[in-house]
Amino acid sequence: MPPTTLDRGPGRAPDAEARAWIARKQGRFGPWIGGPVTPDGPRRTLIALATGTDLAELAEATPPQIADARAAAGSAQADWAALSGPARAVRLRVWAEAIEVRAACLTQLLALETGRPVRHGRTWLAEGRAALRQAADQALLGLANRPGLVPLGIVAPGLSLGRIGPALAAGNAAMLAPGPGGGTLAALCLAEAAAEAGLPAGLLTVLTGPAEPLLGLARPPVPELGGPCLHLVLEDADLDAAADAIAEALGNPPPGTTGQRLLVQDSVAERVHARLAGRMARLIVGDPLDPATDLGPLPGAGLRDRLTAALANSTSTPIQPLPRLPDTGLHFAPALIPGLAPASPEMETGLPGPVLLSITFRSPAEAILLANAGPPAPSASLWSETLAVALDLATALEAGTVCVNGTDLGPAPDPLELWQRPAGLAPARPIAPAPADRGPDPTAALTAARRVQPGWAGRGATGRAAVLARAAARMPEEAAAPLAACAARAATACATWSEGPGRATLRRHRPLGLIAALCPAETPALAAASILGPVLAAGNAAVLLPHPGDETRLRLLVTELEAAGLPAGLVQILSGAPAAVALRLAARVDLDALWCCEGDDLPDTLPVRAASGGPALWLAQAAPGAWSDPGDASEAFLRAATRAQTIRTSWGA
Amino acid sequence: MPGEKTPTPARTAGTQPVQKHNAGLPLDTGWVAATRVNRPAAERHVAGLAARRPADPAAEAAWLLRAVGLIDLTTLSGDDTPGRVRRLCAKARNPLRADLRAALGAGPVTTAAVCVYHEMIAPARAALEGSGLPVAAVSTGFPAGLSPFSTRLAEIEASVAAGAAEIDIVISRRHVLLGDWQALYDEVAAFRAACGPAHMKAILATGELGTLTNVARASLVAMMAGADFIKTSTGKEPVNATLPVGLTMCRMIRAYREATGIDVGFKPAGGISTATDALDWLGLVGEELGPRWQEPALFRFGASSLLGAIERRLDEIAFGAGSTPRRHAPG
Repeated sequence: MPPTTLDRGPGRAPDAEARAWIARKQGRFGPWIGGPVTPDGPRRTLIALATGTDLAELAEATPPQIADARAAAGSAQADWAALSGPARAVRLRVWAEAIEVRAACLTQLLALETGRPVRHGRTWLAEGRAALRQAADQALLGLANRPGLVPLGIVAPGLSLGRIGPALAAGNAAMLAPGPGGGTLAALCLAEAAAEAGLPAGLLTVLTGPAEPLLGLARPPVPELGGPCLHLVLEDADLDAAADAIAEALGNPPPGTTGQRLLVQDSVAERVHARLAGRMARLIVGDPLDPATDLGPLPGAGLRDRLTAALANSTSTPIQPLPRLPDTGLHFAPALIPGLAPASPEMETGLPGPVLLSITFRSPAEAILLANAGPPAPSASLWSETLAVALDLATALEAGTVCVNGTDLGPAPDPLELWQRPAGLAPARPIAPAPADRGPDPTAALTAARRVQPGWAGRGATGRAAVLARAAARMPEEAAAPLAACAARAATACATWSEGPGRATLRRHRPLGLIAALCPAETPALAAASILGPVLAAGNAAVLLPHPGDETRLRLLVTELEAAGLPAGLVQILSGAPAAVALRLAARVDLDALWCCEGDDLPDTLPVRAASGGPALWLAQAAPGAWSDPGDASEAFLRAATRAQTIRTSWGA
Repeated sequence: MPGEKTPTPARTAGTQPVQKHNAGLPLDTGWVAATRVNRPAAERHVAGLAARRPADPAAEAAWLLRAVGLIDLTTLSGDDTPGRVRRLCAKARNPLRADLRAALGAGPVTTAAVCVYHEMIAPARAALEGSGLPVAAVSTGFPAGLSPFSTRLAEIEASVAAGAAEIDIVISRRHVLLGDWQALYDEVAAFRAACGPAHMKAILATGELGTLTNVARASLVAMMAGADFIKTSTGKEPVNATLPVGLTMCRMIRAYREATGIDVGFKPAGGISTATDALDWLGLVGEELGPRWQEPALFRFGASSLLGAIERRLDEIAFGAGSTPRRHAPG
């Protein structure tokens, strides 16, 4: 008798909770500003992606509503920040419970609107609730009200409880604008839960249109990463596990990523591709409401056409094993394009959606070279069974989050202090674009500083801190204090390791590389030391733009540092009109960050991001007198001088 | 759901196809050494199986009817008697109540085999006469496998001579724990030769092998040495069949098949005692190996209490009023 496949039979796609929730609102939604507001703005119809049927009507927020939202968020934030940590913690915990009550509704709303399978939505929500509770616990313990630190204000953390939770716990108000099809209904449901939990009206706002109104909000001084998710498979990996997990990730891309890339070692590439194809053929593609579904529908017909064309025109032969596809909805069979080169058009532009682009490498060193080409990936998975190899690659990858031997460990929740700033400094905010200007050519200074930076970073946190401490001992009191404070802090706060059952998260801070800073006119030596301390302690090279007339004192400071053991050339001083030099620097792709620690005369003339790949801009506008308290400022400056990387791993013999 | 037709019929009773023997391979220590298994990844992978169980009751009934036909109904107790074995064989021949089968629209059903100690082969054979059901015997110093090598070989020969069509051997765990793959290979190959025409299932006792990597390597060596089936456990270890172990063994069977074209069967045993367990294991082998491993020629459950749990679940599906053990004949 021939074998008969055991069929799963018709799947279940429960959507009662979400449909009932939508029906209670008569299917019409507008922004949430301290509560539901009249849907006045231009309307559009949301589509249930799996079936193509109408889901709800969504009205965009009008300009007056956006202004109201800002005002409401501002006043709510002031009240909220005035509460004690424990008082915030209580409400956040209630919110977590209110979310739990709505868990089925929320996952169904996400599935209906965004196509994210409920299977993945449940994990997302469970991790989100855990992050929210953790943030509440941290607030309870007083970590949200540390002396000298204040909230950023109104922030835009995005639709992720692992970010919203810490942002709110730290005393901020949050505004969300996921956009139609991006989870607006789920965001509205979260806001409703927040209101029920007694969070102040206006603390969590949902705008129903595009995200532009959020652009001017305060943001943490760390670069936001975007781009494809990276999977790195070494020859000593558990290849079956890697292939299975990577294939499944096609239906559950890490948040913030667009598209997925595979780097696989030459010696095992064929086997890994074959196993991927086998697993991709068995993925369940279909209705995201069915708990068995691995891969939901695409968000639009345009993407389907683009992917189809890309597969047809690929320079390499794609592998697209065809699982059973449902008749309705924009479903697309997951595909793999092996044998690409870094210079292939697909690799250069990237492909969003369930298409895996694969290139091979010969050695771990080459893997790092290929993986770090291009902007840093928000998220990467790394597969190796050898600790030495895995740690080598994980620490060398530029990616924001590296999951060792797993794709679904997800990003770790933000630390609270990411959403806070020193009381004396104005919040970092982006700057309006402006035409480029001319100033002196900084190339020689940048090149010289860049050359010695890796050696300095390689000395380790303690070694660097010791040089700063020795230099501080030779200096006048006003410059010594910030250097010494920073040295002590940097030597002890290098990385954190936190553990859960069978898994751990390592959060480490790496130097940005090369930082240029406009020095403030106020108290030149003190301010310069306050800037140089964190920049150097974190392992960076520095280019200083002194105020005219302060140059001599700065050169003296640098001489003392070099006498204490700082590599010659690590700190460069660029003379000339600081504003003109800053404009030139803002357009450099070989500069990692540009700090404007000036008064009010510069900001509006600097571009947001002059060139793609240009420096991250940070405005640290010090209030008068802020430099006299180096302790508080140094922590914020240290954070701005580093790039946090999270390495997550799980263990089990 | 009386009156509804089940989508897939249960296997016709007593006619399981016989898989040809695994010819084996020379020991390839390079392949063995290169095999690595990451336990957390395996655990996360099997956690997704629960969501893939059939949601539709008719499909679930079809899966459970299939599962009944895959059971090696087992008794391995010190107090086994011919009478007890005859009762078990009667249950193996007729595992489901007639009205229950009728309500599910199922044809005649039997379990896949009966599994006993050597001394119980004769009464089992007599009780299964005419049913076509094979008798499987555990052997080679079951469960620890620490009796003299010559005795273990002689035990196989005696059981084959007594009419056991399938022999479940146990491996020496120390060969795995010491990494002595040659010794393991030689041992299993000698057992294979002693089995002659009988089918050989190699019990790896995975609960005593320490790591999933060891489970994978022992699976490979047993298959290279000619095992027709690889089996997780004796049922006497502290930890028996778990899904991560099952996933690991299925992946090795797939790798062996890719390398040789030979299909090796899989038998999880011990600790599989609920209807949802059965669904998860059937889902696992279906996904990893394909539908041929959902047939008795290549897949068995080693279980004693699983059948009762499946009967109760089928009862619930068929009549919608729950179930109790009283409603089903004991084995």
